[in-house]
Parts: sequence; C-alpha cells; structure tokens
Amino acid sequence: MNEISKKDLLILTGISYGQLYRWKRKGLIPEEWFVKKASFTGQETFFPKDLILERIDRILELKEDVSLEDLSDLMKDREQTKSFYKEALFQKEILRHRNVWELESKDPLDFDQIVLLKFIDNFYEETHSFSMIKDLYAFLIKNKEILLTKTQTIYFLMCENKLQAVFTNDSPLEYGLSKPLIKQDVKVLIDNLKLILFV
Amino acid sequence: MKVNGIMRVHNDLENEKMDINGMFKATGSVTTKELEGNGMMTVLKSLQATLIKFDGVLKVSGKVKAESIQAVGVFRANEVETETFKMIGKLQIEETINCDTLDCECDMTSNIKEIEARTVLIKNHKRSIHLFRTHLHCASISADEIYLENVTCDKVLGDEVRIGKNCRIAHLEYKSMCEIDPSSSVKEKIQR
Repeated sequence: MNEISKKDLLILTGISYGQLYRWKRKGLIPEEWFVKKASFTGQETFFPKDLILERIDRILELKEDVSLEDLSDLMKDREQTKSFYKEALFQKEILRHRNVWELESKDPLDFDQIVLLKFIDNFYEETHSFSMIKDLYAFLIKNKEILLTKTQTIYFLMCENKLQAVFTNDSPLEYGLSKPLIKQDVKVLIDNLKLILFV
Repeated sequence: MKVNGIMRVHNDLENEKMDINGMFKATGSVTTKELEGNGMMTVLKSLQATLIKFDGVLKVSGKVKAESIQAVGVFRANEVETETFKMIGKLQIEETINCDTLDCECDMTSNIKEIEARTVLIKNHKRSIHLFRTHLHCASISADEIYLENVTCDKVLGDEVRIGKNCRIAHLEYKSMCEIDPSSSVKEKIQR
C-alpha cells in the first residue's frame, strides 16, 4: 500500500503535531493507521496515504460546523438508531441503482442494512448482474455480525465466471491472486458512511 | 470509596470517586471519575479516570486514560493518553505519552519512549537532591512547542524548539524557531 511519513503528511496538509495527536486521542484517526517503522534516524511513523488524506480532508471540512466531541462520539459507537428512506439515500448518491434497493423490502433502512447495500451497490457498479447480487445479499445478511465487527477487508474475485469472495481480518498476504474485482476496506466504508449520513 | 490503610482488589473495579491513603492494589483494571491519593497504588491492567491527583508511587501495567493528571513522586505506566499532564518526580513510560500539554519537573532518571503532544515542557526539579543523576531519556519527542532541560533524546521534531541546559540531542528538526543553550549538544539540526 502507498505510504506517507508523518513529516510529509504535516507539510502536505498543513496541520500541526498537536492537531494530529488530538484527533488520535479523540478516536477520529484510528490507531492502526499509525504504523511505526525503523528508519536511519531511529523510528519513523507512516500512514496509509489515501486513507489518511481523505480522512483529514473530511475532518477539516466538518470541523467548522460540528464540534470535535460530536465527531468523536460518532466514530466510536457503531450502533446508530436513526433510519433512512431509500429516496434520501438515492439523492445522496449512496445507493445508485434501483435494482439494489429492491433487494430489501423494508423502507426506512437502518444503518447496518445501508452498509450491506452499499457493498452490493459497489459490486453491482462493476458487474451489472442481478442474479449474482441476490445471492450475495442473502449471504451478507446471514453473516452480518462477522462482516461488520470482525472483517477488515473483502476481496471479490471472478474465477471461471463464478463469483468468489474472501473475508480477511488483519493484514492479508497475497500470492498469485488474480486481480480482485473489488477490494473493499470495511471499516473505512463504515466510517465514511457515518460521516456522510450523520453529520 | 475511601481507603485508609491497605486494600487489595482481585478483580476489575468501577466507581465514582476514589480517595486512597495508604496502599491499594488491583489485579484487574480500574475505572473511576476522580482519583485522589497519597501513598502507593498498583493497577495490573488499565486505569481510566477523568481526574488523577496522586502523591506517591503510582504503577499501572497497562494504559492510563484521563483528562487531567497531576502527580508527584513516581509515575510508571505502559501508555498514557490525557489532555494535561503535570508531573514532579520520576516518570517511566514504556510506550507513548499522547497529550495536549506535558509539564514535567524531572527528578532522578526518567524514561519515556515517545512523546506526542502540543506543548512539551521538561525542566529540572528545582530542589532536587539528586544533583548529578537527574536526567530524562527519550527516543522521540514531537510537538509544536518544546522546551527541554537535562534530556537525552534521539529525535526531536517541532515547530518552536528551545533546548535548555545539559541536553544531548542526536537529531533535531524545527520549523520556525530554535534556540540552543551552549551547555547542550545537538549533532544534527535541520530546518524544514
């Protein structure tokens, strides 16, 4: 994965050490993103580049309207009780395909369902196959708990015209893997949805 | 909860307010709002409190999470996360201190692996009886404002950096300002 050192990050984004560490304390930047590595000047901290830049942009953008405490509460607890109508989700461009909505018959959707449907939506964007997503959704609903709490990355692969999916936690090793159709980081997706929906 | 004397807890403990005079030991983790104490306290897992005020020896094997810490004496922990940290005495942290302001008057030899903060102020204790041994060893300090005295550090990164007496710094990076006392040595100095 593309990485950026702490020093470069601060120069690039213009934030200070104090701000970065404050956000870490408040849980806005997950501790797993602070990767320590040995370098010739001792130890250096690196971050996954795309993830951290996107997150910092988002925090800086929201900082004006929402207090840091509210943001931090939001990121910490996964249980959200608010529900959303499909039409509203369509307008926010979270669910982009009508076929995907029809998988779930309930109308105000709760947060977990939105996360699952967002997976399907991303998947449908690539494949445009309705029969596939129907089975996939049933599978995801069945394994909701594992998917939302323990999984870190999901790979969708196509092998001889059959869909295969791998669910991993922690950092996976890959060998001879054909290029995944979609690679999705679950935690990032959930965080991003929260920032879009609840702020 | 008020303790006068000796108390041992063989489990996790959770309460509103703790006042300890004497000795306290918990084998689990401790969660409270206000912790005040004199004497000795040992926690074998993590300690979480809003306010910690402790005179004496406080040892935590896990993480300390608080809003504000004021301690005199010896403070030993694996990791600290707080807003303000005011300390007089010996400080021993195996991993990182992440805080807004760290104000430390060092006495005896202190060890901290890493300091991540907004402002760091490390001074020599004025009335220390350990005239020659007072020193802080640290692998890395990164903060916006830094003032150091009697510190040996591999790497100092900051915006405004003031190096006081008797420091040995291997690598120093600063942004806007840097002052170095003649009694200190800095091997490598870079402005970025």
